[in-house]
Amino acid sequence: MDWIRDTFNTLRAMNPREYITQGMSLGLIVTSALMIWKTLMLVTGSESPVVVVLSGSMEPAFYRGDILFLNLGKEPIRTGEVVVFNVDGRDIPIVHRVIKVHERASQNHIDMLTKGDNNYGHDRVLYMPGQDWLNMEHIMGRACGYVPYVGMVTIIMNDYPFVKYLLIGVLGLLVLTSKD
Amino acid sequence: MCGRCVQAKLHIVLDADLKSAFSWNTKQVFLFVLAEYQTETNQLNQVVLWDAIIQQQKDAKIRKKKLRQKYTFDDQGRNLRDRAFNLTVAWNVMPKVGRLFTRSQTFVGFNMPANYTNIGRG
Repeated sequence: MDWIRDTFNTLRAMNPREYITQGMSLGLIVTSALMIWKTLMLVTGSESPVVVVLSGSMEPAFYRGDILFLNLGKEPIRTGEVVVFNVDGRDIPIVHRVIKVHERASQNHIDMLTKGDNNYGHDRVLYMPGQDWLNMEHIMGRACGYVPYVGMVTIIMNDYPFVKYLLIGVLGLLVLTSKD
Repeated sequence: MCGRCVQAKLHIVLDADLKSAFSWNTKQVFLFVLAEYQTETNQLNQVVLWDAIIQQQKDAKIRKKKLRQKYTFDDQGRNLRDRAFNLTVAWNVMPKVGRLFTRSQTFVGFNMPANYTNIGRG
């Protein structure tokens, strides 16, 4: 338990000026993370450039806890693409594959139908009652990159909030007491 | 959901060898067959008719004398009769880690029959 005493002593020995400096470097880390996220949003055109897979409906390609990199882009969506979409009235985005596309000749209107590779039927049952098709405004992005397991961290942090606070607390303390 | 639509049933013969699509970083290949056609209201209609997940290179040689259509081939209206359409075989290569990409090959110049066939109440 030496490190606790060390940490405590370090904190006690610091003067206000040092507290402000360390506080600012903490702020710098937070704002840098925000900047990277916002830049990714700008480049990919997606409101959420990285998503965690939450269900097994795309197994065996994607499992719960894997992460996907999204890109929205300008090109219209085509069948076979894996998209992440929001359904009206549900907060949780869904990762599924487009199996039907009907693109109108006039105006920029596309009707799409999706299905999970691991699901038996298509997604019309998941949409709002009366909603037969997905349109561009429902689409958050198309999956273009994949990394397994990494997203498990956020799932654990969401399921057990105390893990999140513990992690934030420890990281904050480390930054405050770090000597540069 | 579509009371006043028409539907097509195709007889598709598929002969594909996707062994070369596999590399050390390939987790699976998602193979699918789709029909593409144009109507007066829609500049593009794409309907996936069949798909399969291939997880191993040794299973990547596909020979189907008669593909069992997995999804209905229906139009948003009643525009399938005497309609020209293309068929595309596409494969989405899904990695163990990294980038997803799709390759495809299109076969052009198919045409729907000029007359409806009665297949009973179905």
